[in-house]
Amino acid sequence: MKKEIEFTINGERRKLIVKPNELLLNVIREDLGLTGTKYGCGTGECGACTVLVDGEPVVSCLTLAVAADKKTITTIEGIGTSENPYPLQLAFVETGAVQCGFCTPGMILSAKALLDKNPNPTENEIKQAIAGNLCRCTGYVKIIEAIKLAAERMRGRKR
Amino acid sequence: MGTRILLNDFEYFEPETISDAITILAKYRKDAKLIAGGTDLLVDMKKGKIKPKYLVNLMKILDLRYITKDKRGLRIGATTTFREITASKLIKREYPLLFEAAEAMGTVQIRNMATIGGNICNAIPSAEIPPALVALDAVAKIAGRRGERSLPLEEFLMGIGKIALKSGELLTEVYARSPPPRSGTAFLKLSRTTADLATLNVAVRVTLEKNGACKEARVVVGGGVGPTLIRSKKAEALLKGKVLKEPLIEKAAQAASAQLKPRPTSIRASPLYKIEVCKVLVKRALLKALERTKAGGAR
Amino acid sequence: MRKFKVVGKSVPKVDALALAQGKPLFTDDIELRGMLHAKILWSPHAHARIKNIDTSKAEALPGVHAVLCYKNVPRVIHTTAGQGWPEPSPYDIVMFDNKVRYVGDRVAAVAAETEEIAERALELIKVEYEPLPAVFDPERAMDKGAPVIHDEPDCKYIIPVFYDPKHNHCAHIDLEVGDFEQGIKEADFVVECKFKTHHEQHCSLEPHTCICYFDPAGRLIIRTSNQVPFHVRRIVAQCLQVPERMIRVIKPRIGGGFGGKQEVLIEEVCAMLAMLTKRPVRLAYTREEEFVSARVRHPMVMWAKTGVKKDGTITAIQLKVLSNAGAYGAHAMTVMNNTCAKALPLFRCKNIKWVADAVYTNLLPGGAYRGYGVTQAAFPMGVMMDEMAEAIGMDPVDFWKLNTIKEGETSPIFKALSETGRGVEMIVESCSLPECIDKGAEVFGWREKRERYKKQSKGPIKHGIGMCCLVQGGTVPLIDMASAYAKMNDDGSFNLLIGATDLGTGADTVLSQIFAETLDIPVEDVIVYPSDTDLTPFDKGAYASGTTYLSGMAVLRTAEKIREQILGVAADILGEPKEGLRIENKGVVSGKSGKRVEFSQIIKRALYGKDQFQIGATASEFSRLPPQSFAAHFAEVAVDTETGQVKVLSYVAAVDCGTAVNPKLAEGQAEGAILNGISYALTEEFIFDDRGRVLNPSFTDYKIFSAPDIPKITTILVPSYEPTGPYGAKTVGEVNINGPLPAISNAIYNAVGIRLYETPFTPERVLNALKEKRKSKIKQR
Repeated sequence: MKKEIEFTINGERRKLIVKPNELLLNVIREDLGLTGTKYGCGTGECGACTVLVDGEPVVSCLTLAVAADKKTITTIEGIGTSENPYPLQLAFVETGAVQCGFCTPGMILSAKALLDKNPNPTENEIKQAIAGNLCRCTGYVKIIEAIKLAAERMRGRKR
Repeated sequence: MGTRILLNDFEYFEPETISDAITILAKYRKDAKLIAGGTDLLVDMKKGKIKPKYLVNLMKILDLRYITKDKRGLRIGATTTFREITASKLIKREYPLLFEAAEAMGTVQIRNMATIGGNICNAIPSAEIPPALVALDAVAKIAGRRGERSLPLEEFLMGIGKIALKSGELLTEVYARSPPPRSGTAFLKLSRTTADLATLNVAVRVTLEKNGACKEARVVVGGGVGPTLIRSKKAEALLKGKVLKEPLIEKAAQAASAQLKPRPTSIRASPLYKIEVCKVLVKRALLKALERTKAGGAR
Repeated sequence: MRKFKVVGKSVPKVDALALAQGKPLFTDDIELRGMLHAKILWSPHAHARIKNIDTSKAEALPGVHAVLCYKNVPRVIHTTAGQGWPEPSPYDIVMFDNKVRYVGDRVAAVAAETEEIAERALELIKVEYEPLPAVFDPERAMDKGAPVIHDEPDCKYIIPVFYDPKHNHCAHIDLEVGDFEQGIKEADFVVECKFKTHHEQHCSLEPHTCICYFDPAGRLIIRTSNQVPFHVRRIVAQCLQVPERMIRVIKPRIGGGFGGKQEVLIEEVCAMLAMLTKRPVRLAYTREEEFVSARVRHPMVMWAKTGVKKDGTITAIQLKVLSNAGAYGAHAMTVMNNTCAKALPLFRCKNIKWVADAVYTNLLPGGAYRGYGVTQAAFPMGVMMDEMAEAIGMDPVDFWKLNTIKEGETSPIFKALSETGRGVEMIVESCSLPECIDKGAEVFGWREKRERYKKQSKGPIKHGIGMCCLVQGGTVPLIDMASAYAKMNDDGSFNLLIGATDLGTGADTVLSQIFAETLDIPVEDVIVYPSDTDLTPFDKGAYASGTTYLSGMAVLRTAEKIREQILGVAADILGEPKEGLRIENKGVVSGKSGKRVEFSQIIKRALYGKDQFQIGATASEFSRLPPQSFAAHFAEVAVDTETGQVKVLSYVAAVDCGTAVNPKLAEGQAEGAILNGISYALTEEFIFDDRGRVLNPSFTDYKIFSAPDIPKITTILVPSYEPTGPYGAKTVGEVNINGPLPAISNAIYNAVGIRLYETPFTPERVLNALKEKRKSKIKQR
């Protein structure tokens, strides 16, 4: 039995008809065509499918689309624009934090959720915030550096 | 069975009250399954381990999501998320044991989704929060068609995936007893990596008399050490009434460790290793808790 | 050393922003009209004959378009190893066989309208198995009476090498340079130990994914996450028995490879399904499939014996290797060969003996994995070095420095063996390893920490440090080839078309930098397009640390040819001889007259003005020798003697990759490899049951490090100049993954006095070794 759901994704209201067993990840990728959100493990361990629901990072591979009804969702496509990328995106590019780039969208969203709440995180807080996002390429060194750099710049901007 | 999709078809319910949830549960009984955060359940469903025909999402029931305190303890609604627990100033200040255990669970994403009730009801042996709750003499509050009942959490947890809920019942609240004065607690987790499930979890509480002797102790071990967590009453009895010195603490740790019955096939460590290291962890936890009774502040 | 404008600068990775914005760049990010979804049925048995298979019910399921199994797919024996032709791996696999050889072996495949229907169809396939006895222990695989895993008559190598499948003997080579026994006689101390390394999965975040479809001309397009597109084209054509001209392979961005995608693992099935259904077909592995049906690092049993004189001279080295190839022999011989060819040239020793075997077992097939055999050999050799240093009472730093190869020196191993068999004579023309050792030790604080940890604190936590040196040769000499093509556009920008395969490493960027440097243009003026078998010229693909060095040389030569053309047109415009002209900042300048003409004027003249032609060129390069990259690694650990837990506190790597074309990307390669190595050394582990099933096929149970687990990692790039490489560059992809096993093992020894010869260094293994040590101490009393 299909259900109608409605949510706001990247600032846009969307109405969808979904089956109860559809996963938010697949709805985002296939029905909405937002492919920046990735399947990496399907068990909530790798964080490649991370999206923000009401501002908090969750794994969309373990979220039922029906349970996202009435929520506000942000995917990687919803932060920054092509012309004006989000500071985290620029910092990731500059520090060399992007290698294969498959984990990057989820990593950036986890980092965004951290910086939204805590503009001046310690290194340990950064590490904990991205503990749910696996990366096999970088050894995390430059990712942590990128988040620090973005935090610094974003603090400057707010002042 | 793949983890890219959820093969299992089911009918989906989103009750907004506890009684509506109970009505649905009573109607579909074993064919129905409750879902809260879904972080364990959906993995099991993807792998085909369980195939519910009806899925009842509890997250729309506002009455199940709260953290409040009363004179004797702390009430946590069943669908309170781990993030809400770790973000609670009340818990961090007055129940550091719960804070530490909740923070040791999963990753940011999982803590945002997973709920305390779901974590308890999945009855996974490696769960972090149940040992901490048992060390605080927590009680499970249950609602069903015939009204409410409570059960010590220790009795609520019966085995791997086994809990004391009868058909048509649901867990509504966990009630943790406020640690008495002169209490100290500690939670220790041993795991391969930060984000790993526990190889071993230890939660302890010691409460001292005014004269410094041990008035009461709780020693709880989790992490695939038996069908469910193990509260070592033997260890607790050894400590009770005594002044806590290291040799005694070691003896208590030995006693706790002797009660372990780990499954022979564990991915994280062999039974022998768990038994061996349990001694170390219990000892360290007790020493830390004792230290904290002296500090006074962190209990 | 030369001054560069673009090379040596950390320009941002050319694809990084699009990736950070989540643009649809990966294989699975497109959806084609009418696309079907494929799923594969895997064997539940480690070894069984398929007596019958009934697919009728699956075929009858609405939405199912094709079911493949051994009954309806032609038997073409081949290898899945993505290597050059003729492949140095045995032809021992067919798309679908009537026999399964490991749990996770392929049985059947389905294409259906949805993934859901495909999964349901798999459940409807009835397979009748006749289980056969299985062998899992490589040390038992060649025993008399052991089950024969490859009893099919058609398995073979297509090159003349030893092969004895009747005894599960997949590969054998031995060699001796000098006189090993004599060397042992000359030694003051002889050390002998047995080592074991374990399985490892690549854990690329993007699972293997492939989409096949037909273009309007009826040619098959394979869009795939693969490190070796040109080998994919060749091998798929072979399996499907169609001409190669019918196939085009496109590699989009890849979500990590590490060797796991140097394999034709799914492309031929996906292509066959597309051929049969005439519909686009998508085949994407799940994470569990990555763990049970992909490839792993070959586990090895190794016996090492070395002799050393009191003065520090190593008189003899013997390494015996038994590699567990698993069920199929892809990469088995070449990985095995590298335990000598690419690992042992590091050591200055006249008498070296090496004996190596690879055997079939009923476990996961081994494959290419970053390090490719050198990782395995670096472990025993790194530990033996530490033991020898201890035996003669020399500090490991001094001992390593004394016994590692220097600039201007050679090793007899170079000539004796390469990855594929025949070696080439070579002299190491670039080597900053001695400086790496000095700088690394200094930054790490080796001498100070060595002193400090002589006295351990009273508590259960003990500290220690360990080091090792590493080498990894790049490319397979005389075999590997790379090429590039470039053309100039109206505005003076260039299209650079490269066969090279960027798998997240930054190859597109590095190669653009080399091109830009040669033509003195900014990187922005290079439009790079990689890895498309229709459009880009051939490249062997991304493996054997070859891209910067070899593809880089091809790009350099291409740019040089274009430079000549540009100068020719400029000479015509300026009316001056070509010889007096030079390229400078997007233009050509006359040294004599000082006149200048811009690239944009030059190309306009070439395209529209006079004697019109396309300024453009193609060039290739083949590997004449394997450039040697070096590193010195230092690890500091804390060992909890009560729980056995080992924590790496700090890790320093001093790396000689020649000129670092892009230092930030080079550091990133080092950091990623180091952390992968540490995670492998401490926690990553396959757990099998007694029937050969993987018990932990998920990131929940197979644990790789996440951010909170990392130590402080410091990478120091210590330049050297490789005369045969582009602007002095060598390679950096693999060498650094080889350090953590020996460095951490040595550090644990330094901390608590136990030698770990078996990996991984789990808390349990450490604790058991500590107990053994205590017991033996009691015995000694």
